[in-house]
Amino acid sequence: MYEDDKSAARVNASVTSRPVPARGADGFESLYRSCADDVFAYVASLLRDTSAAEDVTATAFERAYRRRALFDLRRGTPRAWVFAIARNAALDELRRRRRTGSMSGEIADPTVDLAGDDDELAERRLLVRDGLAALDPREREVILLKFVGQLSNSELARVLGCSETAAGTRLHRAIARLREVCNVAH
Amino acid sequence: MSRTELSREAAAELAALDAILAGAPVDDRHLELAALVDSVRKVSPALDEAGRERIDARLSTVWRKPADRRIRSRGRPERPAGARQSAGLRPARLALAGGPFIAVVVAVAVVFGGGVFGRSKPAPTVSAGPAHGVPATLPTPSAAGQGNSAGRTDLSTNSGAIGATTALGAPAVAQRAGAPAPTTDYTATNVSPRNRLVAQGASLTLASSPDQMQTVANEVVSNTERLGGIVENSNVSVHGSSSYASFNLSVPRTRLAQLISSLSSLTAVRSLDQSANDITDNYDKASALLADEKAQRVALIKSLAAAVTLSDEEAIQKKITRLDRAIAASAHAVGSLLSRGHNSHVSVQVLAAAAGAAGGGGPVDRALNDAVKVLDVALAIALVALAIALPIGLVGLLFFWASASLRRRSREQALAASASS
Repeated sequence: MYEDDKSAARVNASVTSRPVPARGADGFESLYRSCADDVFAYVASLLRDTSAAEDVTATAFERAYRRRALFDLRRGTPRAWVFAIARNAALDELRRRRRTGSMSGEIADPTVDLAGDDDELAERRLLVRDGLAALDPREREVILLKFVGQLSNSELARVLGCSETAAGTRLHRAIARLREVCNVAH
Repeated sequence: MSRTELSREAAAELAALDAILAGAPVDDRHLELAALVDSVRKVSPALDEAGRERIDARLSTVWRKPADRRIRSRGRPERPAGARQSAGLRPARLALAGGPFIAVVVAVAVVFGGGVFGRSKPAPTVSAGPAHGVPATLPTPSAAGQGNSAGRTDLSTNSGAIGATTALGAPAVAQRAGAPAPTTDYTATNVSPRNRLVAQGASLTLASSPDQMQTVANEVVSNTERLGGIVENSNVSVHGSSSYASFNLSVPRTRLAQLISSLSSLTAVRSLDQSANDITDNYDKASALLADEKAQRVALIKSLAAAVTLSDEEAIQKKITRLDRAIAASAHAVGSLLSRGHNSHVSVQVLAAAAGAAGGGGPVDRALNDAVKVLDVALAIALVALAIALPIGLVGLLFFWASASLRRRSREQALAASASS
C-alpha cells in the first residue's frame, strides 16, 4: 500500500546516528539530546499518557545518568541502554497504576504532526496510527523499539529479555500484524 | 516457522528493515516497509516544546546545575546529594560492602577464638569408674601443642580400666626454644578429694639437629636436676645424622608439667604421650597385706615366747623368717607404689633431624617458619571467611535472581494488562 511513497524510504540520517557516550555530563547530554524524543515517543506509546511519559522519560535519563559508570559498550549502544532503562521505568509506572488503579491521561494527538502531508499520505498515516493502537501492547512495543528506538535485533533481544531469534520472530510477526490491521482498516 | 530459526523471507525483511533504519537504499519490494517505518515514526507521540523544557529543567538539576561542581580527590564529579543518598545507601551496596567485612571478622573470631586451632587439641576427658577413681579430667596436653603451628595434631585418647593414655603426635614443624611454654597445671589433676594415688608418666620425643644433639642432651639433664628430678639412665650417641639420645627421668609429680614445658621448649616436639594410672587400690591392697603380715609376725613372736619345745621354737622361727621376707617384699611394693604416686616417670628421646625441621636453625629459618605460620593463619582466616561468605552469597544471589525474575514477570504482566486499561 506504500509502494509510491519512495520519499518515505529514507530515514533521516541524523536521527539514526548513535552517539558513543561520554561518561561525563556533556557527553551524556548529547546522548539525551539525540534520543529524548524517541524515548518519549516509545514511553508515551506504552503509557498512553503524555504527562506520565514526560515524567518517565526524565526518570529514565536520571537513572541512566546515575548508572552511567555501569554502562558497558560491549553489551549494546548507549541508545539501546537508555531504551532498556526507559522500558523498565515505563513498565514500573504501569505496575504502579495497576496497584493504585489510577487512570491514564491524555495521549498525544499525532494528527498535529500530519500538517503539510497530502491527503492520501495523511490518511495512510492515520491508518497506521489506528493500527498501532489496535495492536497488542507487546506487539506495539517491539515495533516502537525497532522503528523509533532503532535498536538492532540483538539489542532488541536484550531489552525484551529473549533470544535474538525470538526477538526477530516477534518483530516480524508484529509487522505482519500491523500490516494486517492497517489493510483491514483500509 | 521454527521458534529458533527465522524463515528466509522474515530474515530478508528484517535485514531490509535494518537497512532502512540505517538510511541505506532498499529494493523496491521493501519500499512498503520503508513507508511503514516512516509512518510509524511520524504518528508516534511527539514531545512538545513545553514538555521538553520540563524534562530539561528536571534533568538539569542532575547533570548541569552544579556548574561549580565539587571535584572529588579522584577527579570524578561528585553526584548530586539526592542521587548520592539514594545510590549510596542501598541495601545491596551495604550488603556488598559489609558482607565480606563481617565474614572476615567472624572468620578471625573463629580462628583465634579456638574454633580452628583450639579444635586440634581438645581436652580429653576420661570418666572414672566407680571402683577405680581416676580423676575425671586428665591433664590437658594442650601445652605441648601450643607451640606447634602446623596444626596437624593427632590426638587420641585411650581409656583403660584404671587409667588413660593421651597421645599427642606433633607435626614436624618445630616448637623451638622461645616458643610459648606449656602452661597446663598438672598438679590440679593430682589433687583428689579422696586423696587418690595416681601414677603419671610421659614420653616425649624431640627432634634436634645433629650438631645440637649434645647441647639438647645437656639441657635435658640440667632441666631435670633443676626441677628436683633425677636421671635414672641416659644414652647419648652423637654420630652425625644417626645421633641419638634417650633418657629415663624421674621428677616429683608436681613438677611434671614444668619439666615437659621446659623440655618442649628446647627444640622441636615430635610427639608427646602422657599417661595417668590410678594405683590407689593397688596401694591399699599392698598396705593391707603389709599390715596383715606385720600382725602375723607379732603373733608369731608371741607364740615363740610361749613355745615349750625346741622343735616348736624352730618351726616358729622359720615362719618368722619367711614372714620377714614377705614383709620386706610388701614394704618394697608399698614404697614403690608410693614412689610411683609421688614421682613421675618421663621417657625422653631426642632424634636427629634436619636443621629446618628441628626448628633450631638460624634467624632465617626461624623467619621462614614464622612466615609459614602467618600464611597458615591467613589461609585459615580466608577459608573460614569463604565458608561463611559462600552460602550467604549463594542465598543472596538466589534472592536477587528470584526478585529480578518476579519483577520482570510483573512488568510483563503490567504491559499485557495495559491493553485492557
